[in-house]
Amino acid sequence: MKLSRFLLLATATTMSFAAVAQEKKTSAPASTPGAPVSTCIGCHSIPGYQASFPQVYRVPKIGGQSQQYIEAALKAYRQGDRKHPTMVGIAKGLTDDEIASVAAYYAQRGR
Amino acid sequence: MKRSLIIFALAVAAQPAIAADAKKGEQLAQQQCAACHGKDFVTAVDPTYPKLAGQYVDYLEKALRDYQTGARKNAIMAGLAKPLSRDDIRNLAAYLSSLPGPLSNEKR
Repeated sequence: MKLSRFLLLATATTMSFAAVAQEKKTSAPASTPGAPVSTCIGCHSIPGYQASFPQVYRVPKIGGQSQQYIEAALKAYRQGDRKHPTMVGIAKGLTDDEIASVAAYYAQRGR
Repeated sequence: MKRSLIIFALAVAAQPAIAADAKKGEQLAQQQCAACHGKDFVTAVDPTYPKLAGQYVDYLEKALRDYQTGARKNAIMAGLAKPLSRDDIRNLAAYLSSLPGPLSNEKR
């Protein structure tokens, strides 16, 4: 009972977020030269987007986050101090320079 | 009798989960978290510490649970998260996510 209620709620929430996301028009181009953010935007530029594995929760807001924190987070994924499988895979493919430019990119994109 | 039992069961099932208490979360956050993350949870004392104001409630809960279990490794946060109860975590996350701040996942 509890599970089915949760699933129903989760579905409804996801659908309403999807509706909101569709209404928004994309304005500025999402990437800047040098920052390999095309990998990030599929999850982190969709308000309310949910990670579905291994647990369901909304992926964190990173626009406007501290630049040094984003760098530290990506490096923690890269060396295994943080475990999210998708983020570990992505971070392992990034150089220090790429991490720095991704962090700078998102730090400037707060509201 | 049978009918009243059914009605009782339905009433119990229909109860919403007890809501998180952001007021309690505020007290705890100001005591335990503000010294490093900043009173407003936007201006942290160290730039490697994240801004928490306005972050998603479910992500904040998950982060604290991961510090408790060791799935996320950070010596300071592990020590702080260990003693928190499930309700403490829900209350903290409710408070922090309600605060105004620059965090955004909007495409821009």
